[in-house]
Amino acid sequence: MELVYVALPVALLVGGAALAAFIWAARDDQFEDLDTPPKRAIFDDMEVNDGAACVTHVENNRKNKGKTLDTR
Amino acid sequence: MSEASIGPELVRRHDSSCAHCGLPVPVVEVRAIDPLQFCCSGCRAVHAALHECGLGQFYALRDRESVADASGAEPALVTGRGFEHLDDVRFLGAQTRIDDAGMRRAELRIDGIRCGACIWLLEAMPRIVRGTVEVRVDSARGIARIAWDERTTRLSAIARRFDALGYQLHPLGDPDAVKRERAVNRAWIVRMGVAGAIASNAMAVAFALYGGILTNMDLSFRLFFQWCSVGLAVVAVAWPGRIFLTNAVAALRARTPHMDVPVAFGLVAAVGSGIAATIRGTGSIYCESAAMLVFLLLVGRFVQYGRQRRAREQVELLLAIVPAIARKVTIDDGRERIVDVAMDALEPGDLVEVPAGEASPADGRLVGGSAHFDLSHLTGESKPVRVQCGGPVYAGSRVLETPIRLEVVVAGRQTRAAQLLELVREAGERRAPIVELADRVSSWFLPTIVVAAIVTVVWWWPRLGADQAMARAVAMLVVTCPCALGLATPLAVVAGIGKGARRGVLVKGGDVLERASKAGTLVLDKTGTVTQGRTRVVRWMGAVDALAAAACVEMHSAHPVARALVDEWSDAKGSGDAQASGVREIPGLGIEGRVGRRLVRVGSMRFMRERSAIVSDDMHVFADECKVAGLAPLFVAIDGRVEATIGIGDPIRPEARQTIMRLKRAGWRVMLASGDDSVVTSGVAKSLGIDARDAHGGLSPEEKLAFVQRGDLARPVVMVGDGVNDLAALAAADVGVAVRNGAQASHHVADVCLAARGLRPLERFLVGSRSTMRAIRVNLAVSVGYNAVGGALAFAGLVNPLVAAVLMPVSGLTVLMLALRLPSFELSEIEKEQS
Repeated sequence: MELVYVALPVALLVGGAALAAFIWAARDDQFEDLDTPPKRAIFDDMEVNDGAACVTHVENNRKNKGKTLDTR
Repeated sequence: MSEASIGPELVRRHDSSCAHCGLPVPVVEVRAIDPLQFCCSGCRAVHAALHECGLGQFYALRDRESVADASGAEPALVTGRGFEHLDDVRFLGAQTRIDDAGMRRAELRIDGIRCGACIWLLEAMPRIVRGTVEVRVDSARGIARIAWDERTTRLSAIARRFDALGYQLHPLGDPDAVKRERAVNRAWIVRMGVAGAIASNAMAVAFALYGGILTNMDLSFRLFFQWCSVGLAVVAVAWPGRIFLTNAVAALRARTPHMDVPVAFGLVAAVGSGIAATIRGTGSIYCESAAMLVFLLLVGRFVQYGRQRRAREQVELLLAIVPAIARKVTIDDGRERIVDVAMDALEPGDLVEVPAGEASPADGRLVGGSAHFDLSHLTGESKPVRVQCGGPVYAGSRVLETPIRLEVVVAGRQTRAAQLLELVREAGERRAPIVELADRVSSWFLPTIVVAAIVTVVWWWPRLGADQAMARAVAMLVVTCPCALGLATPLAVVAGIGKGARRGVLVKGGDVLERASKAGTLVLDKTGTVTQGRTRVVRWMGAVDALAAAACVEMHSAHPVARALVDEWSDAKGSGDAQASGVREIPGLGIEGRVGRRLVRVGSMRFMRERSAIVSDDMHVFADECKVAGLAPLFVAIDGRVEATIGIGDPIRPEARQTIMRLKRAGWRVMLASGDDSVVTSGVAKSLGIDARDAHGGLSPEEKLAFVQRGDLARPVVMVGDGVNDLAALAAADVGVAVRNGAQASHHVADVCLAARGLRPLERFLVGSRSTMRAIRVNLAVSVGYNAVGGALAFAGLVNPLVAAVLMPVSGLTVLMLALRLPSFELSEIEKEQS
């Protein structure tokens, strides 16, 4: 039973360490935006095709207006 | 958003949907040969851009993501702006920084995010746009963090690429405010986490303690557990719970009742008695109750804070992102160039261009030609005003028809609009503070429990001795500590604000709901609130083919009256492929041109007289009727003979009369305050069933302010408006209600923002306030009931720490359930009553 004199403070210390980690995370703004990350996880496996065309495209954006490409 | 404002009746006629945004495609945009249809050129451009960039997966991702929520669909907007203001040295210096890797980082507001696919698209930008290092999107707040390499690209170039995909970047209005808000949020989360951790540990210790007491544990162990418990409670009260103590001290200093005073009292009593009991080695301790109380109350406050923050942010996003950008005309080597600059970077003497349909960025003088301006945001006057070359143009007035140029006279804080804002700030500061219901309850709550504790001691001392009497008094103080009472209001407010937000009613604070829950005086602005805020054809008589011919001629003009006619009759039978030729607009009078072989003239009575057109008696009578109803008569003459007469005006919303009747029955005194002409205002009031003495027209902004501050109006005074001319009145009224698409500043000033125009959302807000208030009252009654029962039990000596520890969360839970159930923003019940 005397073990409790050690076990309880140790338990509180471990809890305190977890709390410290939590506080660090909170101060690091990890709880600021809870909406975007779950969505981000979905498209981690999606790849973007070669984007070289895009640079030229945006530059000529206005000329291209109204032109449609392949269907989806 | 010119494409977005196509009338609903025009959209519904075709059943194909836009390949980009999914909205119905209007007839005029249907292209028979294309396999894909688009609702507007913006969507078409974005679709093409996405495919050329190899980002076509956007659509697959979006369909997977957001099928459930089709209501949020909006056509893509491509502005084609230059965004040069984002390269401004002052902006870069103030709102961006260089990171360790030498990249420039900025935080910008981003407009156009609708679903998860947008996040993917935006965050994929670095892979397709050279020089962009990182894009991180915070979709809830509409903020993008961008890092870019200054050696290879500029922020304006990135912004143009975003724009080509339908997203617009804007500088944060007030970056410090965003940082402050974030810091406050952080502090709340830390407080909550600490309080939660301590409360759960304290409960665990309490478990050991009571288990031990039941099994006759050694005194030394008991004291050890008690010391642990006391230690935890002290930390809970001193760290996360300090907010209650400081609030209580502040409330006592200011001599205003506050919920936190009894809370602080209960906390101090629980911890103090715990320390005393542990030192003396006898008596019960209530420390776990104190830790629990801190946690529960913080949860309540935190969710309330979170909701209010969210409502504020949604308002921020609603601000329609009227960009604080001016198009400055500069002359480089004799060649003219137009550069985007921030509004406050303008200086007197600068030449700026204002595109048709946009607002002037500064007070200035019109250069070259004359133009019509819509001053309704500034003055409330719904008729366009004509300004001659060299005439004054005020910041905020919208140019109709043609793009104009003006020479800046004063900019920034000196403009008339900015000075009005100053007036607004003063009016807001003068508003009398109100005492919330919960605080009124707590103001008698504390004395009551103190008296009850004293009575307990006095009653039991002679009978049971000092120790027992004191123990019961302490139990009394702890068990009556207002946990449920402290949660009652925040939880109901959270539920109310949340339900309101889902219904397009954004309420910035709980006190607003309380203020608007009693019937008082409702001051309505006319334009846009009870009327549709748009010039339209209200009534007409005569031949339809004459009207179609008139629409044909008016097609060549951008005047609002012309647009009204075109909206109404361009699709009418007989207009077919008819083309007008030789169209000439005579400013202030009318327009004439040929359709086929007929000479068509559309204009005022004076125009008809000058062209000596023949006007029949019928037409005269009809024109007079129009005038009485507050409409402007317009004549259509074909080959010198008036064939049709049209009454033009700002039509009253169809539901307005009914709604006003209902509000009046509910006890509101409904008044009309308008900057528009008195005759028009009283005409509108008459058709709405508002007393003539309650209709006031021709009010200047200052007079509107004085109007809501009149002493003889029944409180609360709820002011509804959306123009810059309403701002001061909105700020000074007990509750200021702004309507979406109104002036940007009105959203900042108002307590409530309605996401839709008209009176139904307003009624929803009033109904919701009343129902939320009822929920608060029920909750307060329930929690006072809990405390009465707990107090009685404590007096009888039936309360031990275990009972106290159970009673507290149970009462909190009851209150939580009631709060989530009760508030309602539904109109259905009232309407059922009506029918």
